Amino acid sequence: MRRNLEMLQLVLLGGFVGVALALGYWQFFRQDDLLSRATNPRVAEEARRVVRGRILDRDGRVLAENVSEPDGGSHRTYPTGLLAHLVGYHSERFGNFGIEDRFDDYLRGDRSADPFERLTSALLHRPTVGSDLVLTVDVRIQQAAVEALGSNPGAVVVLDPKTGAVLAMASAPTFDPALVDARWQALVDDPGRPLVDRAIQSIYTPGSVFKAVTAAAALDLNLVDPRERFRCVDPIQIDGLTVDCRNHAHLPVVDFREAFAWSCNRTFALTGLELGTPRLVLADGFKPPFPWQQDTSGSSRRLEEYAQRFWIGRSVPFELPVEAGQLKGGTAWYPSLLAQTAFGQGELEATPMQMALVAATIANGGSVPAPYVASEVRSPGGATTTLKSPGGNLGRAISASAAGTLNEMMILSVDTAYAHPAAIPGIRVGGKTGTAEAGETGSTPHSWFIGYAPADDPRVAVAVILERKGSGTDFATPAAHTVIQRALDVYHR
Amino acid sequence: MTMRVRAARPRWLELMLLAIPVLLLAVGLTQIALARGEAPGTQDEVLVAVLGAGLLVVHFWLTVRHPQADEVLLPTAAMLAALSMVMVARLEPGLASRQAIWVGLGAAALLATLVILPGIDWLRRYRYTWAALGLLLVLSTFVFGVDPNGSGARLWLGFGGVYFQPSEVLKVLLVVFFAAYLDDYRELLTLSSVRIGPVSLPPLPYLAPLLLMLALALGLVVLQRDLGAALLLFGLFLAMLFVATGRITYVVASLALFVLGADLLYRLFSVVTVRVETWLDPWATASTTGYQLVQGLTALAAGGLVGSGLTFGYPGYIPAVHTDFMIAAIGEELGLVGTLGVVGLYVVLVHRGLRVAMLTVDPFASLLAAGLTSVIGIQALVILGGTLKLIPLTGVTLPLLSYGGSSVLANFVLLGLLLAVSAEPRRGHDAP
Repeated sequence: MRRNLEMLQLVLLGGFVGVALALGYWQFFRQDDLLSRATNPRVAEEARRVVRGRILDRDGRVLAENVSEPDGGSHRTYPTGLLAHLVGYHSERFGNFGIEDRFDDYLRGDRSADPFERLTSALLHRPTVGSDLVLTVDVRIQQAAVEALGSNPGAVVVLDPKTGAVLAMASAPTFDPALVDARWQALVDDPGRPLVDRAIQSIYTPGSVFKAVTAAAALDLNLVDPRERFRCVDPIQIDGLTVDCRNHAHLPVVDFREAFAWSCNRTFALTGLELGTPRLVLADGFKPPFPWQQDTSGSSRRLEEYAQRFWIGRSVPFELPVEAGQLKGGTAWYPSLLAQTAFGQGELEATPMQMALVAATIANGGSVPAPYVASEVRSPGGATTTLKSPGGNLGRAISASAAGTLNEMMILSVDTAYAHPAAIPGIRVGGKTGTAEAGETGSTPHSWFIGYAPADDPRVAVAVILERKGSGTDFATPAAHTVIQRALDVYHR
Repeated sequence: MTMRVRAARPRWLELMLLAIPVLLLAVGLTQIALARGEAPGTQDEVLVAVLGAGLLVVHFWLTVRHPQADEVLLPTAAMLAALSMVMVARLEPGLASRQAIWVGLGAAALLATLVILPGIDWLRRYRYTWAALGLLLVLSTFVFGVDPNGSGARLWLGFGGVYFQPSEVLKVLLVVFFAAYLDDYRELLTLSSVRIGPVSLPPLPYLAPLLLMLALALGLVVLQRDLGAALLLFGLFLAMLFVATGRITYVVASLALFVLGADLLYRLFSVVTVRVETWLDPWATASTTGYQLVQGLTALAAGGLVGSGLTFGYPGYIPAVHTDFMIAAIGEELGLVGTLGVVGLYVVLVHRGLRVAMLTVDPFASLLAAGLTSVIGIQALVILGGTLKLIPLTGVTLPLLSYGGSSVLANFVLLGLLLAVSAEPRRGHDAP
């Protein structure tokens, strides 16, 4: 029987050797394969256990933070509910968006601690703690921006024109970033497209606010004496397009500054057409050859050049992707397109961020401030890393003297003309309104305003667009007024 | 009846080895408490005390009454029991004290077996009684059976909130019956054969009662859909028949019958069909029937070589992790080191158990030891092989490791019987 027992022992031990080999197979050789499969819940579990860093406004107010759950996990909350688009969302199922996405590695803690600290944390199974991220935005200004938009689709961008810091960025309609997982399909299907950040991702016809760029080109090129008065009444015909002076019907004789303040389309159509000439001819009583019958290729090239300098049709470097927009579509220039583009119509499209930069550039003496929103990272250990220093610039758009003249024109617009609803007693405000025709003829135009204050030492620059709301004077300008007012009350560099 | 009282002799090896499981439990429970951010509590101290006291009492009794008994079996089993207590405390903290009670009762049952058992002969004498008792218990589940944890099979008998699985008892009782019967007819079965022309057949009349008993047991557990138990009982029968007779013919014939039976079950029962298909490709049904196996394998992979450390893995995703799939939880949190350690403990148990069988003089005792050892070994292989996708998964507990009262009790009684056999006269020692 002993031999039989030895045989049984051999068989049983053989079985255990097989088990040991199988253990090695699954636990060692197939490890990576099994763990990378969708059937492994550990990746999501580990992510849930990360104590994600907070996102703070410039004064340390909490914009996003994790709240612990009883089971050791946590969920993300957004206490202010005011920055859904800029701060974005953090979803295990649908990915991240906005700042939550752009600075995910800091917030998750992957880049924060030094290697030794990370090793000890791993060995001791300490939960990963992400770094806090400080933004340049101010919740109080953001609040004003959100209120200014109300329920109307549109966007508000508020910048510090000297530093490029984003003080507020609002987009409507908005969504609750804490409920993205629960309401994903409804948000995606919503025809109002609440997930789109209109401030940087939507391109709009800018309308008359673009006249600031055309004027900047003429002034920088020294083509016009801004105080030279001229008679401006007769409509002009360009390839069958009629451009008139109805915006200043009460003022038959104007200078270039007034034509800007009263948003004269005729004057800016001519300015665009004549950018390639040594001196603008704007007064009534043209004799042939008309500027629009001459070669305007030099003019279009110059408009293109200045649009480039103001980053219209280019991707503005920013922490989040900004749509480039366009000065025109794929066709070649023709006179009526050049004329329309010069007063902000045609095929021109730009984001609210780009138009805010136009205002900020004028306020900043002609140099384009580099916009930024994330200022520093605070690691759990207390170390602070500066992400971006304020005051960077994206090149000079126009000379300081041209910017100075344009500044006066913007002030004039607020003091005496269409931008008057933006006026603040005791403070000089510069601004330009826009009423942009877009889409079908006869549809309600976009209401625009760009501006800044105080004009002698600017602290804030804004762009406001209210989609399909009406004239710039009646809607975007008073909305901008409240935002500027709030910003001046609370924001000191 | 011959009295075999020997002078008490210290069992130093056993005493020293017994310190390890107690230490393991203390360290494990402390680790779990610390990982949860708490200090080790009174309950932890009580658990360690229960294990330590239980082992000491058994050790003391063995020292006094059975100084010749094997000194490695108890510490090895105690290691598995201690690991079981640690893992249950980790996986189902609410059941930790219950498992401790079961281990304590198991130690008591072991002691009772040693104290009450008048001798090995007594087991042999009432062989049909044991077999009938075992079958009766299983049969009673058809009438009184309950399914306390929703496994889909009514395999338990309930007494006031305490549940008990008769098939765990059946396996021990069947070992006794098989050993007694095979001992009676060993020579006949080994030597004689019925010749029909050139073919020599085994003496079927002598096999009949054995086969009948096996068929009854298998039939009952199969009817209950307790496929793991069926596999275990069949393997046990095969192992004991071979040990008794050494005839390969029996093994080949049995395996042929097994293939036929398995094929029949595969066709008849959808449960079996699903099990086999899940075994072939668990990932095809990773969210339904393959879920348990896939999550088990994923947990093993997650553990890697050294594991995540106690409480730092996610074994909670595996259904029945604290019973049948205990090895996956050990694999995730203690790594390949831990799982190979467990395999090593079973190897030691099997080796020592068969050593008892080889050393003992009495053929019945030898068969008994071989059968008891086979139960442990085969049951471990059935569930480990199932968890590791080596064979189709059938639910049996991992002996001494899984949570569960009847399993723990039955295995401790089994261990008591094995220790009793090991105290019997040995070859080369004091054989009469």
